[in-house]
Amino acid sequence: MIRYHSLKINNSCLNSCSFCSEIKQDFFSPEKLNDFLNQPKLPESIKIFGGEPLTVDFLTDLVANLRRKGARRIMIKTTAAPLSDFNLTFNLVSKGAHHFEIEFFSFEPAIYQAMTNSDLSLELVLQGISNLRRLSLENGQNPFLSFRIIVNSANINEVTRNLVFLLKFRPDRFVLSIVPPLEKLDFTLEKVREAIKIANLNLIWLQTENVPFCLLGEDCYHYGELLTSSFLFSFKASKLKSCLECSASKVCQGVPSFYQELEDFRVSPLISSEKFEDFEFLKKEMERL
Amino acid sequence: MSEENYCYLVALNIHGYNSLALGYLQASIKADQQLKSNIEIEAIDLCVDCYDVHQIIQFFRRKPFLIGLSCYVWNFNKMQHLARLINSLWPEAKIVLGGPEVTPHPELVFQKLPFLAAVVSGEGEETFVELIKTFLKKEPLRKVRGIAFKNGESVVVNEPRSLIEPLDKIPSPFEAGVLELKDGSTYLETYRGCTFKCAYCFEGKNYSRVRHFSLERIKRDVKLILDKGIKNFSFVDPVFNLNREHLKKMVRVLKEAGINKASLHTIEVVAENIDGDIVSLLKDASVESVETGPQAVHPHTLKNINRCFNKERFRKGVLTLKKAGIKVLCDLIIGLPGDNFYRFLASTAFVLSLAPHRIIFSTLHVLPGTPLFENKEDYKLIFDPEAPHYIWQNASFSYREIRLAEILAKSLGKEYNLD
Ligand code: SF4
Ligand code: SF4
Repeated sequence: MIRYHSLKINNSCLNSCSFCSEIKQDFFSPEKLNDFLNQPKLPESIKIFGGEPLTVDFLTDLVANLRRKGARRIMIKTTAAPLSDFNLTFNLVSKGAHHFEIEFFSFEPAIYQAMTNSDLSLELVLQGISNLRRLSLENGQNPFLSFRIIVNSANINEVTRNLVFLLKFRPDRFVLSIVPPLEKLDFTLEKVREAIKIANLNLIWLQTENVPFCLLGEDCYHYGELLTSSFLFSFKASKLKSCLECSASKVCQGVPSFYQELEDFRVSPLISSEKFEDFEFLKKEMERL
Repeated sequence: MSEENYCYLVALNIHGYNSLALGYLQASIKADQQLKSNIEIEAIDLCVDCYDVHQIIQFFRRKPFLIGLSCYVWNFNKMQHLARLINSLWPEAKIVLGGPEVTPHPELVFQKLPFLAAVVSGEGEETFVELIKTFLKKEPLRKVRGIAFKNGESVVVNEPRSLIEPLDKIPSPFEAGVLELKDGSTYLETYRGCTFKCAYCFEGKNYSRVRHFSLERIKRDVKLILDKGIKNFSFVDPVFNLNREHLKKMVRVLKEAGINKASLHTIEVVAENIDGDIVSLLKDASVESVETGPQAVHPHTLKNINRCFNKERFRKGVLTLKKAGIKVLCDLIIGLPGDNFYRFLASTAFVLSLAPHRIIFSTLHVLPGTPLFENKEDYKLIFDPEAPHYIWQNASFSYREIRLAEILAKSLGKEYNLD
């Protein structure tokens, strides 16, 4: 729900995921970063990403500078592999990085590598995550740890097992990011619902990404995602005829095209929501964010 | 002094707090000519989450004549356990309970703890002194106003005691030197009661009117706090900016006492009443951070809990405070009647849009004695009958939605609140 200002600092990544769109976007050159830092007032919350931002050698200094110049919350989006260097982890957190969003694919090395098209060692990734949690034991630091689990047909079968595997790291949030290719819509949604249940049973908030409200149904309470940037799909989405009657229509971008290509695709718009008024009320508050 | 008359007063506080209530009781006993030479008193003032009852018992080094337990919503479960244990170890000792958790329904307390010698309802300072004297003289309890006791199988609830007036009659715990003052966890009270009547709160309901300690008394206490080298303290007052004229006088007194040598933290304010003049007064009073609502923003919810809220004035107030460099902490309550998951999200979005220093989420406690407790059927409030009386569900907020809101708040709270 917190709006982070994005700061993309490089393009090179340890993975080469086929669905990744971030890698193609422009990033801040050192000069542009300097200009950003010299603004009179920095945004309170900043998300640093790449590529893999942890491979940028001035990252620790950048975090320190951002904090010194008034930014309060610094999120770093990473694969976690570079955090296997404990000194780097310690320095980043000590200088003020508070939130780590770790992109995770699978606890099975073969699936991890297939999804990421890389030979990145899962062992390093897990060591990196452990280091973040080791900080609280050894240094009393307790950074916010969220896992963005990327889900497509390669790992949909074990999405819940992935979640259970990650519980031992005491995550503060899960983000389930659905990306193409998918095979069956119903099966995917069933797995997503299962994941929501497991996370909530363990008292962990799970936020879905790239899922229009109508697919999960109102029962999943994911209007909450309206308040996150994950609502802004990174995939091409379009409104269908049925969207016209939907109560979420004003804020929804429609259905991402990769769902529409599925054999069992159908959509039930949220027309008779008894919470319609609350939804409008919520929307008004969100507009100020 | 008789070896026999040893009294313990026990408080179990939220982490970071000391008990002002124990300080008042100790100061009142010390100031009483008759008692001060007849009994010895020791305060056991601990953090509620740091000790279990068997550890607390280790603090009782002498055989007690009387034990007073100060009961609040956050400690009542442990206090009941402690009372049962004390009664087993020292069956002769007189165990007395007081505090907001036992004030509204003393009969129910005796149902659970029939061995109690008495339950004190309402302000305890005068009642407790009179009660100890009555015990010492072995006189009947019938005449002690503001208590309940057992007579055979029945519970006798005596006449209530009138509110203490003027408040200065209560001896100052700071002057009596009975409080261990610590930076950050020293608190002072300048008045009792509240003009607002929020339906979930005990303060406005418990005291029918607002009574102030005199400005001279406040000045003396603040000076004593500062003389002890305290650099950061706070007030327990429900609303610091209740009245503009009074605030002006307070600030003058604080300045005369030398407040510029220290700072004040988490002072409760009504954000809607904040303007440039009030902010200057708060700055003059060295206020470093304030705590405020809105608790919720949906008009229906606000009506049910009897809270006034003006969105634009609230926003302006918070922004004015922030601009002046005063940190603002905003409170939100999960599970209020009339609210639901989406309305709670809307409250959260509103608060996030103000970018306060911290957001404090809490789950509604349906406190005995509050209007919400009394009107529980109207809103179909279902809550834990045992302390801390957390809401389970209500007519508009289902059990599942409340749990989801708590899970979301836990995650968001950690992400948002940095120090
Ligand atoms: S607008 Fe369309 S895509 Fe969006 S939730 Fe409604 S029906 Fe689904
Ligand atoms: S919540 Fe605060 S403002 Fe409301 S009645 Fe209680 S003390 Fe007064």
